[in-house]
Amino acid sequence: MEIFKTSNSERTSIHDMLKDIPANENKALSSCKSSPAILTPTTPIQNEDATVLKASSRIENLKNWSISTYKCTKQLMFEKLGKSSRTVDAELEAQIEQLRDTQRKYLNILRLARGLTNHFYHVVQTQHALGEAFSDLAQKSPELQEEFLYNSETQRNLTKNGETLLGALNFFTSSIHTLCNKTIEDTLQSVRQYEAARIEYDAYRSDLETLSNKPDNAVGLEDAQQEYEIHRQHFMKLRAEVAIKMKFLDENRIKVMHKQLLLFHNAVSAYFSGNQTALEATLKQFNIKIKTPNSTFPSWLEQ
Amino acid sequence: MGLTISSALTKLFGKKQMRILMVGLDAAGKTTVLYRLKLGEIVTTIPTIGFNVETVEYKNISFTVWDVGGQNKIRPLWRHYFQNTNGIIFVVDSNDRDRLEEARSELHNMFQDDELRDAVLLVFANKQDLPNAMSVDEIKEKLQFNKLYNKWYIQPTCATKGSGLYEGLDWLSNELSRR
Repeated sequence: MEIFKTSNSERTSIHDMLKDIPANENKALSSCKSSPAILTPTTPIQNEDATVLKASSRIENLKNWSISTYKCTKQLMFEKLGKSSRTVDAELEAQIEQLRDTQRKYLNILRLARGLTNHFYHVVQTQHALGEAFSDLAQKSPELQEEFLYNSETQRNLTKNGETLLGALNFFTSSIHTLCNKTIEDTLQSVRQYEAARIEYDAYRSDLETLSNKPDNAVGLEDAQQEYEIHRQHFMKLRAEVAIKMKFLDENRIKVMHKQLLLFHNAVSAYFSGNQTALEATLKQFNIKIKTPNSTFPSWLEQ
Repeated sequence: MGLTISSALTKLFGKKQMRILMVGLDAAGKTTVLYRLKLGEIVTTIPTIGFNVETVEYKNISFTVWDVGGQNKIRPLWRHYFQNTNGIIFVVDSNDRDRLEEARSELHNMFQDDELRDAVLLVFANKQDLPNAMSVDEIKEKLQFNKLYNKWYIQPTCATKGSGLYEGLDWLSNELSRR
């Protein structure tokens, strides 16, 4: 309000500047302190009073945002320089670090498993082509017919089992992909919000500390206290959320990995020991349907 | 500039991503719906403690479906998964007259949350094959959709037969592509 009253020209310029920002009427004002882009909606101005209100709330938002950004940047710099203290939750932070490490390691497994699947796909393709070539020659060369025939038979069997194994490998990689890039990532997103809230909280905390250390009754102490309290609560809320989500995630991770590792092991060992029945039983056990090359993509007519 | 080009390319050729949260009272059939969509088969399920996540590809949209357990104790945890959710699938046991009121209150409670203001709501009136199942109209009335601010759609389903599920996803993908 004050800013508006003292400088009339500033109001129009900032107001005009903000006009370009797309309005989002659904965004609640109270929930956003960190972004200048989310402000009151730009609707055609009806009367002078409304303009005053809107412009001032915009300026207020912009002010709040710049102050908080400034504070957080300052806090971050000071932490890096070792001049400011930071709140540390050693246990939670160790868990977070471990989670990030787990994600990295699982992503590596995913990369390797995809590599294997890819190579194996080419092996199966080649076996298929070889089988065709053998059977072709069996018909055309009676002198070696038998030899060509049993070779083509073997390659065909290998192709069939290979396609079954490919089905299992694809299921494995797609499940690990979902785990790493969706499930774990979701919790890590909450972690990032928690970490941002931590910096904000620390910034207001050190603010409050400097103010209350001043000998004379500093102005704005009450405001600082209030801000501190708001950010403390926000921080505590996110911390509790991260703790819960990590626990939940851990259970899910163990459940998914247990199933997938069992599938991977059973399928791979059955294939390479030549046990066709065991291989097919494994896929049945995990309800995996093998896509034959012709049915991978539904025809455009079906869509 | 680079960003614009890459986002335009994704729009043209990439798969759209949609985050779906599937909730509802316990024993409504959420996990059965999830695996019917993922595997096309009925799997034997046990009450979900915690959650399941699966990626389901349908009509060039990649749905990430979060199925969170529906037991009383777990319900308060739903809200931790609201963020970035494009759509809610609320599964109702059409045969469970006694607890429809409980379902209504959980549903309305959930949509009080600010994180869900832009989410669309798809209701699966599940277990329609049972002889005593309530009709869609009855459920519609009792769940009081008219009090909801969000966009909603109700679809009769039978997860064990797989009927109605893809019709629901059709509606979701239409809603998403409209944005």
